[in-house]
Amino acid sequence: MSIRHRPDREERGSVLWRSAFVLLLVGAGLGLVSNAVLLAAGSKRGLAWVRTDKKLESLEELSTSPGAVTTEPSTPEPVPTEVAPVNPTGSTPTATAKKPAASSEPKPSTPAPATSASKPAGGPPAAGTTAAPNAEKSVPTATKPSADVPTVPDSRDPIQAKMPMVKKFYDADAALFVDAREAVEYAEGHIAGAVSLPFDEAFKDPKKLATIDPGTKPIIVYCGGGDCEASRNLAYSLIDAGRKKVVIFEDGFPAWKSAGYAVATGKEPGGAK
Amino acid sequence: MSTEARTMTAPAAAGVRPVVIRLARIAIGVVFLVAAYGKAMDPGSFAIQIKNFRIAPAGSENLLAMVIPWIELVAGVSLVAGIKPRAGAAIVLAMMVFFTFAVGLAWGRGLNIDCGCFGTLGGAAVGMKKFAENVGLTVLALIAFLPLSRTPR
Repeated sequence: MSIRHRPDREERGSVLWRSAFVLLLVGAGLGLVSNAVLLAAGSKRGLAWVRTDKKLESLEELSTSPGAVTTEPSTPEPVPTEVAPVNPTGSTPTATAKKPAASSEPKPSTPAPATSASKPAGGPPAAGTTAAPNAEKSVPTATKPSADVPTVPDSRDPIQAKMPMVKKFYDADAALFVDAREAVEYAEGHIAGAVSLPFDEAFKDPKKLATIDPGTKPIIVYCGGGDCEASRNLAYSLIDAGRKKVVIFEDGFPAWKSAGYAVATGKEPGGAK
Repeated sequence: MSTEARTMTAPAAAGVRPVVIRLARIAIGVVFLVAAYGKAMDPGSFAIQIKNFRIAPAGSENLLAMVIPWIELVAGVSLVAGIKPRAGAAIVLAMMVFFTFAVGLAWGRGLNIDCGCFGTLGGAAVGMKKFAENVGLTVLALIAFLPLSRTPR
């Protein structure tokens, strides 16, 4: 090739594209290999080869199908008893690292704790569920016993909830509402009493996640409804920060507002709550 | 060969000095090295950021998140160290065009997302500022892609 005789000896034409292709392959190869190494080393930075969005459990199903899950949850049962002592404090972020494999992965049947929670005083239910309810007994004390609010089970994934369920928690003052939208949107109108933590800000400054700590109460996160991602992203960030009861209000603020429920404007949470 | 050479060197004929091209290569190379570092350090967050752009096919976000930072790294090293720099510049230019397109699309759709351009090294929301920054970097990449010497004829 005559290229070699050029003074600058820079690649041109097909040689250039071949070099670019080689660089591309080298980069991609390094990326794949490094991820394989991270996965093999069990590093948290290793990613699954194909991203799958977990189907989130819904709070409604967890609280309305008590009988269906009595046999299944026997496997994850040791977990609630183990984490129960640290749970009520709600301020032990490091605790989450210990149990993820056992609690969240097995199957979507972790709901064991929720089943009995709506009727805490119901005596011994089915034999299979007794261990879990005992571990969770401390939770209902945080809420008003009279309120018909199901217990949100500890989970490594957020749980979804729809409007009627969310309204129950709201009326019972049984959850901390967090607005994941931008501060501007929050000021224009938000669920009365909800605090503001835009996901973007939490992402830039994870320390802000520590300010969201309602103790044993669940956190209900919402954003603009529809396909807004902020609530889901913020929910995972909160779980990474050590929170265990994180609920996503999927319908979001628009549905809340159009239902005519309490709304506040401005930078403060507002509302009577 | 001759037709290729002519088209490739047409920009050089526009009169960009070799020293400018060399500086542009190092500058954009450093930018890519920094960006690669920020992304490679936290591929999980980068995967989420990719997903938020809603351009990548579902399921591919993780693969992209593990591959893109390393391609940036290799291209950045190529430009800074002068190893096949035009090939590195070609990759950088292609990536910049795509990134600019992605940011522009997200901005146009009104998506309220973090750019993820530099991974977790200082977040910046997608918007006009980010778009302008990307356009600027694309121009820099274009200059870096110019051949150093004009071919005779």
